[in-house]
Amino acid sequence: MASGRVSGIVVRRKRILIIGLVLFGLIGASLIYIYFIQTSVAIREAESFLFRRPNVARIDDEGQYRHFWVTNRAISEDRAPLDERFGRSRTTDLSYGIYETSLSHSLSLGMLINPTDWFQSEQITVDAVEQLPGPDFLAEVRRMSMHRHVGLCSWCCTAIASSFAAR
Amino acid sequence: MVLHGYREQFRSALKKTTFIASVLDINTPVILFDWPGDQDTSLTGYRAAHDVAAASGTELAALLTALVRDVQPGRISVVANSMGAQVVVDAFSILYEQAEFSDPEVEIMDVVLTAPDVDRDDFDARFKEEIIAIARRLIVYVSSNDRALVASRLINRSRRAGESSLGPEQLPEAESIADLMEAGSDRITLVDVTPVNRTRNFHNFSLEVPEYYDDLFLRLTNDAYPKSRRVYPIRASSGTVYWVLTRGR
Repeated sequence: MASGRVSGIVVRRKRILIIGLVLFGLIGASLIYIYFIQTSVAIREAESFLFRRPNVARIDDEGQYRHFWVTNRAISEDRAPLDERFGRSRTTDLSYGIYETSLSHSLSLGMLINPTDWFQSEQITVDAVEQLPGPDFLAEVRRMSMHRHVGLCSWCCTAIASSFAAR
Repeated sequence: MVLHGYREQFRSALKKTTFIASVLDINTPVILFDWPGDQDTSLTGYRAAHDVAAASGTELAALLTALVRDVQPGRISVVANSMGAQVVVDAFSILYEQAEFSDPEVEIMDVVLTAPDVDRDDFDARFKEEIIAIARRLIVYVSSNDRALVASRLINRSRRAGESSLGPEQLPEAESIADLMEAGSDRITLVDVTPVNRTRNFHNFSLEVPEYYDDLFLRLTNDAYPKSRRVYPIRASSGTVYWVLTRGR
């Protein structure tokens, strides 16, 4: 009887030990998983802004870009919000300018495109809108066009694609 | 150059242009041509926007003329979505009448129309010839069950150029839409995005579908389309080829 009770206690302790080891393993695996996931996210964010191709429009390494706008909207001169200043009525005179935008660092290469998320969570923000005289606008476009060059990534993609096309 | 469609306000046009430039990821200056398409959300508003779009072709033509003359870039690509395509086709009608643009020389490299809200008969009879006279390539992306274009079709009582209303297995209808192209011509390309179109109204695929950006990137950066891509050609009896985008592995 006594030996049977002792063996029962041993079996129970073994079970507790196995369950404890399994739980310990699961917690350890979870911690390692979380560690590597966070590392991969950080690497992905860094890569997305280091190796982005549109250098010609990039202002800095912090995700700021400069693009051009041209509109045939009637523009009021006041300090109204942007959508009120650029109204709904058409004019035959063109207005020209540049604008600066910021892209959040969480927008990374390899992430799924979800523009609704991008717009609603304000991951793209319009920082500045500046109007330019027509000749200055054209001169700036010319200057940026001349500085346009095919970056390393673009060169690689084009070369790879061309090699497939040649097959 | 990027043009947006009906109901687009100035600020959202700026943001969407940034989005497209970022996702397309081509190293080039990006110009938004913004037109007042944010008319009322009603039948009257839609018709007003359509009239404004057609009239705005004059200003777009003036801008393209200034860019070609004064900037002389290596290449110009114009990408227009939905009713923005109406602005483009009217601009090219004006340019077509100008001696500077009607010569055999190609002034603009690519014209890309996504889900174009343009009368299909007008497009087929007039606009596509005018665009091809000026641009090296015309690429049109269409999708079946495009609800916005179905509504537009009801309002305008005519089919829209961006409608395909077919699946890749429906060869007779594919042949019908392939009539938009000319046999043996590599200058007009028609791409159906239906199998990869996961958008809610099937109209905004030019903002939301990764495969569209992948396809557009390759077409803009290559003269010959890479043969390894997940895209299927449907060859109609007339000899025209109609492309269908498919999901990746």
